[in-house]
Amino acid sequence: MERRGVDRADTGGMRGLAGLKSGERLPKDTVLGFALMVPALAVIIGLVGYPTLYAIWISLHTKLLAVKNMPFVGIENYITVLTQGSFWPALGRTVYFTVVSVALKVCIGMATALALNESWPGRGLARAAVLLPWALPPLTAVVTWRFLFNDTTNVLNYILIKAHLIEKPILWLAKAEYAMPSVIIVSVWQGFPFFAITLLAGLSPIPNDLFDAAKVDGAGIFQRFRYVTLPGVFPVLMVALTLSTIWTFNQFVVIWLLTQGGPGEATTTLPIAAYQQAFVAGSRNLSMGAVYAVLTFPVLVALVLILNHFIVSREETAS
Amino acid sequence: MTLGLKWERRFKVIAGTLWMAFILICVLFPTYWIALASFKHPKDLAVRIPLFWTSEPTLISYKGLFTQPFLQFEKLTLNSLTISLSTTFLSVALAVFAGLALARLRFPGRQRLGMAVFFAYLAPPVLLFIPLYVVMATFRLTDSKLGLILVYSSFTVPFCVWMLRGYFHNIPVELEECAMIDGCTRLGAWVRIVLPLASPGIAAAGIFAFTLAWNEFLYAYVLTETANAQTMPIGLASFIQLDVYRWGELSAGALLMAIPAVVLYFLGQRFVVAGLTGGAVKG
Repeated sequence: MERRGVDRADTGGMRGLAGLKSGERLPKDTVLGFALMVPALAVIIGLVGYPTLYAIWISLHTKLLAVKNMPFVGIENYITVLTQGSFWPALGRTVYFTVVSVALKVCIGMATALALNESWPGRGLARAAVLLPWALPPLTAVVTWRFLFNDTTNVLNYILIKAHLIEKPILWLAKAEYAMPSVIIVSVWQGFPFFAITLLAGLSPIPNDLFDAAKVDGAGIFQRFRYVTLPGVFPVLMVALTLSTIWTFNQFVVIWLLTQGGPGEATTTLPIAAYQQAFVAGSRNLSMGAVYAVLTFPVLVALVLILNHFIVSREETAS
Repeated sequence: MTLGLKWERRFKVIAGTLWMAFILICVLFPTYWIALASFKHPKDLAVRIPLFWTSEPTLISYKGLFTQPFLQFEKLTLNSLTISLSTTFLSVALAVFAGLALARLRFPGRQRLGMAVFFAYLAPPVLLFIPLYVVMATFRLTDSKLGLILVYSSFTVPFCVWMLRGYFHNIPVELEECAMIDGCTRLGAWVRIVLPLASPGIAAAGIFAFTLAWNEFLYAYVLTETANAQTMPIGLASFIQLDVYRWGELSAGALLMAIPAVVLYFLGQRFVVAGLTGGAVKG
């Protein structure tokens, strides 16, 4: 393992320091390098690394919000959470929310990127407009959508009824069966521009020759998408996909400010459940909240490993 | 499956136009609606048939926002500014050092260290908010601006390091070597050559650190209690949770909060695609 790490650092180094490869520089670089890294590393270790481990530590104790004492209970909290009724449905909702949101974000983002990749008048303005939801603070997006969903200001229902798409007003956030679709709509609205813009950046370097060659070979529009466009954007697509999945899986603010996990538990995903356990539910049990948070960790690690694979392989082919 | 080229062209134009029209309506209408609401007279806000235009724009909602005694909007704005600016300066300063080290120096494990920094940025607040709350409570840093600045550094520092590492990497090392041949020290070459060339990247990193801190919700929600350290999103969220919706003030506040974030985002956005996808995209 160590050797591989050193090799990798070396191939990377060749690129940056082509002219400075004399052997005696190495130790000096190491000292200076670590010295310059220290402040940033201190922040990262102190505020990311340590709290991650501390979350696990808390989850193995009983820690209530207002109580200083923290008796050790081992995996008891995990047993409680995994055997009580609400964890598994919450996990299911989180997966559903994530899969549906991300799938819609990718499809809408891809279609938009393809349209923006053609040249037409006003394209620059349209590109900026598409970015808008992504650039807005999540709070502003949520306030906007609460306003659209709200039944006293009723604009969304009004438009949909006038367009004959629905017959009766929909209680977007108040009815269990509509709450999940509603939070997904807002999540997709905020998140699809990220795909549109990264995929657009991934599309533009694909040489036109490839499309022309495919045309000559008789490939239709869909075949060209499948065999030229998709392979061309694949690395970018995978990176964007993993990032978006991590962010969506851990979405808190959109769901919390739209429904607070309700009605009932209809939109209680794991992040919402973690917050409720720690800061809302009866005993304000921080360790139970930590259990929920720690249980999302394997998903995160899996996603990070996928991401690592795609970014590292990119960097290696680049150098 | 193969359509004639002429038909294909038509299909593309029609499908593309329809699609973009749909997308632009979906994107622009909600934004227009909230902006319009903030300028409407309160009596026009909750009416049976929604008004898609107002002929008498008024600033009543904006005035109301600043005169709500329990909201203390001015204080919230000031807190948000203080916290976001401090976080930005702290993270950019640390990230310049670390980014230079990762991009320019050759030491064992630096590639891995670079990836570790990126993954630190991805560590979800949902995992960290409980331990960070306990740590901050221990040091009596809950409900304090300093506490939030420290906590925000947990994601702005990794983000800026990752972005600047990439940016420094793309500045040709030959420029620096020339300066060193002309008698500059390495640090001198960095200060005189690399940093000025990297200033757009440094500005972009700062812009994003600022918007990340400005927009942040969960940590501020958990860690603050009073107007002493509460930020704009927290104050406005407490507004949402009131029984009576004050849509005018709420939309005015949400819009005011969005303006700096959106303006800065558009100034810096062309750097972020390259930054986030780790050079997988040439921005």
